[in-house]
Amino acid sequence: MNLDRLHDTTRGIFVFFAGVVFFCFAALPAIARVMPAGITEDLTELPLEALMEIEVDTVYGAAKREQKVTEALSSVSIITAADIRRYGYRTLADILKSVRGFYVTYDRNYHYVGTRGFSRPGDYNTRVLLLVDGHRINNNIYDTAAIGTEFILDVDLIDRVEVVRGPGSSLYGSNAFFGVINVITKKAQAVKGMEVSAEAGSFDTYKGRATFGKQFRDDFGVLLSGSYYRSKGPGLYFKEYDGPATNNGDSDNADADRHGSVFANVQFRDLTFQGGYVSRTKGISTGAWNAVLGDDGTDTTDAQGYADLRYRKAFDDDHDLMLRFFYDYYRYDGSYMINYPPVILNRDVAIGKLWGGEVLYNRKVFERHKMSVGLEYQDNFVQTQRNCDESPYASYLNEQRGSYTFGAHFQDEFTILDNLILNAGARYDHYKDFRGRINPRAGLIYSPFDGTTLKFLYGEAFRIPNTYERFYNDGNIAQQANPDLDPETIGTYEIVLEQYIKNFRFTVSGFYYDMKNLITQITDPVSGLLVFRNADDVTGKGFELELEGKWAKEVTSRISYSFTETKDKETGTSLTNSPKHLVKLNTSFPLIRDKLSTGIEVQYTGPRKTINGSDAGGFLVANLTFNSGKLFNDTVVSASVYNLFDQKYSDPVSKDIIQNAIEQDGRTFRLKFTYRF
Amino acid sequence: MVKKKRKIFFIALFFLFASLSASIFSVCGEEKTVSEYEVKAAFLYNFVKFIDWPDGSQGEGKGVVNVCMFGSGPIDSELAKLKDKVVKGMRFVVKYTRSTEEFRGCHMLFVCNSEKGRLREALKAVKRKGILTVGDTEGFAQKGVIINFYLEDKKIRFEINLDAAREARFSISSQLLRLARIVKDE
Repeated sequence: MNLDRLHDTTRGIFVFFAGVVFFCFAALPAIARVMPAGITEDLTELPLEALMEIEVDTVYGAAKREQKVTEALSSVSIITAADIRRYGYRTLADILKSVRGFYVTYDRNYHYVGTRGFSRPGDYNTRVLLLVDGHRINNNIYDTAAIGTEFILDVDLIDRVEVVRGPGSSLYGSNAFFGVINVITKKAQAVKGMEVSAEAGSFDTYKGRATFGKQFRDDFGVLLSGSYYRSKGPGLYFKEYDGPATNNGDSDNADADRHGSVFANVQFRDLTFQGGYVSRTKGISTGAWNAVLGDDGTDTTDAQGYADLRYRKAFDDDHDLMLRFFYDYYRYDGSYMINYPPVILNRDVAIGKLWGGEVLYNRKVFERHKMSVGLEYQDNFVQTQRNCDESPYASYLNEQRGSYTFGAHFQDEFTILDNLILNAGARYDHYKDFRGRINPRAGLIYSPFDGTTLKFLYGEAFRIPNTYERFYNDGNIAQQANPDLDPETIGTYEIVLEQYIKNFRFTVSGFYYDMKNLITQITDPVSGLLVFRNADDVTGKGFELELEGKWAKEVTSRISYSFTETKDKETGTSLTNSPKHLVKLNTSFPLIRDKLSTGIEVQYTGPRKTINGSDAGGFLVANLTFNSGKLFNDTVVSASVYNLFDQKYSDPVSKDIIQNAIEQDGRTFRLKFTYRF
Repeated sequence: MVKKKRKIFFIALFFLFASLSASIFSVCGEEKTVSEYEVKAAFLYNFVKFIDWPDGSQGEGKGVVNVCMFGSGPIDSELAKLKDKVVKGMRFVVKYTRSTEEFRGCHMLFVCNSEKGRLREALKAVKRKGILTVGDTEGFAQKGVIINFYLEDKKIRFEINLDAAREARFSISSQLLRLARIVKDE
């Protein structure tokens, strides 16, 4: 066991160094060519077309307005549409796996995002806020940030993903606990006509997409898109179930996934309407929630939709106003074949509906202050949870709830000196059933030299326990309710150094956080049932390093290492599903100019503890993607291999699943065609 | 254990292969990632190649292009680097202006975001003086600035207000127009 861990650490270090060596090998020759010794490149020598290809960085999500990455009150990572193409990302989960300090866990039903060593088995991404163009995606039952195939947006419609680290409650309220993931969608002018895409992959996976986008006039643009996906999924075997009564541990036809989604964005003058809908049905192949293993009648359907209408007006002298109204719909429908005996279909249903509005006003005052004020109201008029057996009918749960939230926030960016910015803000939130709470955040951003930025940050965030955690019980068979849950809170300190040198960006950051009243799922010692409790106080600390380089068109590379240590204050032990080491390497370059390029991705995740204390070992996954240039008639072909070395590894899962860890896919393939006309 | 070692060996081999192929194939760069403003300054330099100033306002034997900056902003130090560069036989001169009276002699005027509130005043001052106005603030082109930068896909794009250009009697090459987004007065 000890040897194993040592081996894993050695492997982590090995991967890191291999990456560094690789970086130097691949990168240095490229720099050498770009910049002959002693001569700095003169941009004015470039033709206009080349200038238009150069990427510069800005970010929206850190402040609810466009901002330069170096001025953001946070350490920000940006994944662009180009990255999605280069590395063959299929889902938002794929994208997040490549982000410094992030990791993703999959229990073959949902994907769970972890950051800063924190990803609680049994938690549905409640501590990361997911936004699409500023619209909240976390639903009002489970607080789920859907990042797998149930995510509302086809990844091909993503313009960029901004990952804003650190607490964001001072701007966004609940859920913005460890960070905010803001997905910015492609707009009409990015498509220019019709685009269709078809793909096929391992396990009988097929997907199609059709997108229409057109900027009719300067002030009128339309984007419409629809996607359909289905996958049979792999046959699986679980040794925990190996016995004649449980199908010898085989789960052959129960991992299917199918989903359809539509998305629309219409912009007319200062008005923008956006709407989307997705419905995904995923077979549960793991026997979770006491369902019969391998029965294809056990599945979950998650449907989510929203409509968002916003008005944005920029006025003459540096102030702008945004008004927004939104409506959200969420439905979860789980079918579970339970062997009582006999085998009976148990239905678990949740419905969430809400509407709300937001006002945001930005203004520059006295040259040196950029202020912003916002108000937000959300009425969760339906929050329903049901559980019943179909036949013979027996109802175990029928909870009809409703709630509302109100928030007000104020931010000021004060440019004290030309190279020193003080950024401070706070948000007050009131939630039904809970006392009002203020979450502050402040940061000092200092640029002592050209290309160097230092950030000192402190922020607080909170999360209100959700409807599921408070009220769900299945007739006290496996899980009981706890309406008395309190909000959990976090305070985070962070120091970030960003250094730009020539083609490189180097980031070092250190963080420390202190969580109180962590809401966690435990087994009640008296009743023996699962229940959510404000159980623990947790601290975490760590550091992250990242080196990123960009050269000629399509030549980019980045490598990062994150070290995290978490501690449960009561027990003194580290958290479950909390890897100490994460290494990521991404590099992309052309093989044949304009004809063929490749994206290589290598990710190492250190060992993680499972719920019963055993060790889900560290693992290394490499993905390889080739992209063609434009072939005849604007067709682009992309071919990917995921988990190139067929690495066997398992992810820790929750107490709702008998297995401690669920084995992940081995080597898989995907071929994709995209055609524009 | 043996199997794991072999896997590590393969991974190492893979890296080596990837490194070699990268160093062999990575096409030498025509560009590098740099600050937004360095790129914008390079654009300004390029614009001069594709724009003809109205008769009598420029190149009348003087052989200089006076680039003026109005307001303060990060393009400041990048503009300074254009100094003494030569394009179409004319030498770049960079001037910093604080008030509209100082526009006299300018051929190109970069209006910084900081002067958003004084845009109308500035546009009035450049009228019929053969001064090419350039900005990088949303909405500037619609308000009468001839060329305005904006960002798309993290890349720098520019829009041209053709009406404003015509009114100021500039002639802009189709090569430049082809790359621009054309906008109208608001």
